Amino acid sequence: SSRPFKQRKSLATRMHEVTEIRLKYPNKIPVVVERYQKEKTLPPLNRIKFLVSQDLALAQFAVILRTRLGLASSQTFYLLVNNKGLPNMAITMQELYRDNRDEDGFLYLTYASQEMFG
Amino acid sequence: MEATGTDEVEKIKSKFMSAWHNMKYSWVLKTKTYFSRNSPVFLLGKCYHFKTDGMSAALDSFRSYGSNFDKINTEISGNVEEFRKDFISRIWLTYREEFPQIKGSALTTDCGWGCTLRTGQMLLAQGLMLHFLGRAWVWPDALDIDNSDSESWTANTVKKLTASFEASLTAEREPKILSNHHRPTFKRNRDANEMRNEVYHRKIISWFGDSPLAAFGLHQLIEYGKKSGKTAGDWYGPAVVAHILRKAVEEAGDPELQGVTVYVAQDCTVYSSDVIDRQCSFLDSGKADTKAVIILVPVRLGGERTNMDYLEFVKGILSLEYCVGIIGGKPKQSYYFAGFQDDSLIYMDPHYCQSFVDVSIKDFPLE
Repeated sequence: SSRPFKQRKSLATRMHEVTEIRLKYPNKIPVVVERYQKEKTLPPLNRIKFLVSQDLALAQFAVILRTRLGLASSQTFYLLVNNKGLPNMAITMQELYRDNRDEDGFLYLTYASQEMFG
Repeated sequence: MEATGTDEVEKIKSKFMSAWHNMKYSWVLKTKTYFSRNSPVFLLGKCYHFKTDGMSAALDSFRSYGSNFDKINTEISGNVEEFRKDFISRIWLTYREEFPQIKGSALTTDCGWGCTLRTGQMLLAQGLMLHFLGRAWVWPDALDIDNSDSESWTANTVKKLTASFEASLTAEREPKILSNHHRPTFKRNRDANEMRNEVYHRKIISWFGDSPLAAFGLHQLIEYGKKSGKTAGDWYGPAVVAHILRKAVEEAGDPELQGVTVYVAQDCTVYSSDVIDRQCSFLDSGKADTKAVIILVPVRLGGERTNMDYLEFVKGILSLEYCVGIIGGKPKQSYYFAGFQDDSLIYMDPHYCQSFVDVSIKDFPLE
């Protein structure tokens, strides 16, 4: 399952999935968290789909992910939205979702450590 | 027997790799850096303007001063020299060869792997210069060097990278206002000040010597890196180096260094109360003085490529009065970013192999 979630499922399937979840849990945000394709130091997640309460701060969600991955506090761990930018860690999941949700209705986060140089 | 056999092989291997890297990084690229005369150049929070063109708009406004115009004009073109002086006064650290063997390895060079540590050293060196000498200080011998070896200096130290610097960067600032840079009133006073500054300058450089005894030397930094699972010969990331630098400053025994401390932000968040705790860490021991805090913020500015939305932010950081620079770079190579002009960044490159200098000798050469 090294292929990204988006390539494994069609847009229609993903949209359908989100509609169902949103109906069942209207106050939760559907999030897909994937490992950066070229990541070498951080381990993969065994489950990539999350339903997150909308009032949760992104910083708190990051702590949850850190714990899931079993990372030490000095280990670098960055979340990228849509594989591009570092989001403001102080905003809530709802705010992040409002501005960055994908056309399929999921919020896509990628995690990565830092590059190494020689 | 077998163990020593593989040891020998390892040794030969590392010798061979060292020789290859020394050859590879001894090339001097004769590239010249060109600066535009039409826009300002920023170097670690200082602004320079190379404008000499009388037609330009900014100078036009000076014309209204009439008789003062000539004087102003020379002042502005003099800025090129000032920039050079300022730039050359920054401490440039690169790969070295033939230094004392690193504990637990056969390595006597960091060619091919030490660049993030070297750029980290440059960053810390700038922080210490700011603390002990102030931002206005320039090395009195700076222009002599420039004249004697101008070609290779420009070739190796200043390069402009056009808006393509890569993902991971570490930015930092020093928030404490430093008051140790008095404007001298008497000549004697000034000489004493200059003497004192030269002593500090020499001392700062000696802290970065390639010997196991130097507080921020490669040997010590590698020792501290072992706790993050790194050994000599590994590639390091800027965040790992940030933590190594924090540890190195904490452990430094020199009484002069007790007034400096390093804070490393986690998850890109700077908690001001934690910074204040660091600043006031003297108070526990009953001293009234506060410490200077170097704040390091490890960040990642994009996934595959640098997200260009961050360019203005990076330029903003480099314009700050107490900025001590940024380390990181395009894939594989770490640079020390110190300034910018327009959308190009100015950086110092550690990927150049130089010979070991013994800083324990009095009057060791400073270049």
